[in-house]
Amino acid sequence: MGYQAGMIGTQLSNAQKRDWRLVVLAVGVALVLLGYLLPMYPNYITGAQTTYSDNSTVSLSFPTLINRQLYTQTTPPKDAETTAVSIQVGPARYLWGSGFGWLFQALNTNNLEQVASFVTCLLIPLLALIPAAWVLGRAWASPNGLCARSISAAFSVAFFAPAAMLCSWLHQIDFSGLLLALNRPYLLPSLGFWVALAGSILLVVALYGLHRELECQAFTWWALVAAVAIVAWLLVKTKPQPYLEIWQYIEDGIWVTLRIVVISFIFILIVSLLGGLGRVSKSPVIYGIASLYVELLRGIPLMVQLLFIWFALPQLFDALGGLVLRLYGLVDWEFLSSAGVKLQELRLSPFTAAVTGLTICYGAYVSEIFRAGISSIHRGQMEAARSLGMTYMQAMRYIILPQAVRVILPPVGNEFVMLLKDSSLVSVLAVSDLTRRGREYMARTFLSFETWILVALCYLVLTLFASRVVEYIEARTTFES
Amino acid sequence: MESPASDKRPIIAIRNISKSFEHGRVVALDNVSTDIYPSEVVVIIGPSGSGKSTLLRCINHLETPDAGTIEVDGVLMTDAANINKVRMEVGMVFQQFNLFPHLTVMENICLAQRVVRKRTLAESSEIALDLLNKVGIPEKADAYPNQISGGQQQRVAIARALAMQPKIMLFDEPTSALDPEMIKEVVDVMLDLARDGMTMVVVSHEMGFARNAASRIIFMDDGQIIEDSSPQQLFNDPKEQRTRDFLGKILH
Repeated sequence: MGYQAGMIGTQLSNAQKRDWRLVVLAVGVALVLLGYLLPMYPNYITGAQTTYSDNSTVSLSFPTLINRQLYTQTTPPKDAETTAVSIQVGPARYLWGSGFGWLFQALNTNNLEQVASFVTCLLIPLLALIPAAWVLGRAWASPNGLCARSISAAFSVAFFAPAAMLCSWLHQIDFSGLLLALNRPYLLPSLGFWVALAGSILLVVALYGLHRELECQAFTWWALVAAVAIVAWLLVKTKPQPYLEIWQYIEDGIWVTLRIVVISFIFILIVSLLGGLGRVSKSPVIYGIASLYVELLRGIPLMVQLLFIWFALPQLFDALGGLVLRLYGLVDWEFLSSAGVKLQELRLSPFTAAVTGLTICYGAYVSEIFRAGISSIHRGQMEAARSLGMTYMQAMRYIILPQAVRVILPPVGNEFVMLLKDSSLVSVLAVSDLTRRGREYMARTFLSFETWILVALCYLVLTLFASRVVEYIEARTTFES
Repeated sequence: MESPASDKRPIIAIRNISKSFEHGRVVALDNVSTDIYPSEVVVIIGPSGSGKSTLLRCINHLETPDAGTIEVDGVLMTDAANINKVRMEVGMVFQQFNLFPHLTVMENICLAQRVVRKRTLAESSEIALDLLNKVGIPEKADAYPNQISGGQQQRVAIARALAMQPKIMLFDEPTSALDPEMIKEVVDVMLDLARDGMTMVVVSHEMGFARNAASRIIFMDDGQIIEDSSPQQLFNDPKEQRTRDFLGKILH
């Protein structure tokens, strides 16, 4: 039994309503709900005793499982290793320790922030039920039948449900290999967990089947951004050390990076508008200057340009200042003396140097995009505007550029995302951007893996988010037809 | 109708115009001279590549002639300031309409009025609505060019040119890109204009218009004016063999 694309938006026949994918989806929804009512984590850790190699012990007791950061934050004494861990367990408080019971308990906790990641993991399978039930409801009841968009949304959420289930269990044992090695049966999840896990897997299978059949988009963009953000957040929350500290250290670097990128981008747009207009100019002088700029700067790596501006430019200023002072010796004009001294002392701040370097380099690339966009507009448009008495600049301003913007926008958006990533190069100029903060932290602690995975995730979230914004703007500015 | 020849001052004076393309390899105009008087309707015909479009485009300086002078309404077209002044007085309609696709019909007609003539929004909209009524499509004011038919687009293009209140209208094959059933609606608008006494220079093979409205027909070939006479004379008794051959081809 198949669906044709044409069936989207038409009522389903009875035979189609019994399609295996829809049946499996219904079973999956039911199993997840059932699993959350059955005992899931009936026992939980109430306390732990850790023994170290120097025979010292640390005992801790936890008022609730999810307050367990106490456990992870216990650091062994100097030059000692953990040799043994013993734990005490107690029965769960609400609803036989079922999924719903744990959610209820979490909501009754005073410190919601500490339990947030555990609650999220428990909530994701339940959240996946909402769009899944929506899909089922449409298939059964709505005169409009299946909807590709709701299927794609349901799949995007359901995809994370099995992993989230697994994560909720790992919370119970505190993501700890040591505890797992104790091999205690009461640390394993109960029936409810397995039922809900099976249910969530059925959701994924059924929705994947439907999505294949209807050829809809597998992931909506926000699901991707959310997934990356959740991974980063889980890293920080579940393993607070060292991730929390790294995060606190590099956080201000994100703002520096964003500030550099946004300010540079504004200048880049101005420079490349001028560059693009210069490249379509009929005046050989303007065309020549614009071409020289574009061809020269596109051929030099950004890194070399940045290093030049940071290290070589002060020397250039110095030499120029010297020249002006020499001139002052010849003609004896007062203002030349102060100007020469000022020029010799001129130093760009790291931030200014970074913005200048990025603007000059990217201005050359984006100028070419502007040129291509302007020349893609049919010659007749300029002729029509000129024949109405508009000047060249008026025609550009009112007729050519508004049309060219729609051509220019997608590639310029891509350049913005590239700029966001290439901005990491300014870390060589003593600018405390995200990359440099990461390097500083690593130099201090030698935690290379943890540092760079977090820095990479930060860039990933930024670029994913930026490219979605660009896509949105593109969609808004396409031609009305 | 007043006889054009009795009006002493030509509104367009073309003197010894030459123009070649591709570094002189293609000669489009070869020493062309003619006068056009106020309220005259001049139709230029000729085989493709005969230079008729180039001549038209030289009048408002979309092409710069290599040699010769053009005087429009007493203003010599040489420097940039004069060119923009003259272009305000000379409306042009193109074969491909060249409406601005990012603007509505209304905005297409109003933009140049506001930017060039410095009229207010209210003034320009009033003029635009008047003209849309005149060309018969007031209901399309808020449509975008790609939402209306070719014939309607060309009528909007005529209205857009008229909104600048030009003294002269140039038509560059205005009906060549149209489906046959749409030609009439555009020709009707042009006939109206001619009746109102607008000075018109029309490059077209639309013989219906030429017969009904033209005060003069110019036949061009190889960048030269071969024959310049009244429609009756040219259609019924052409002087030149080349004219006869060409008319034979297009009139069947």
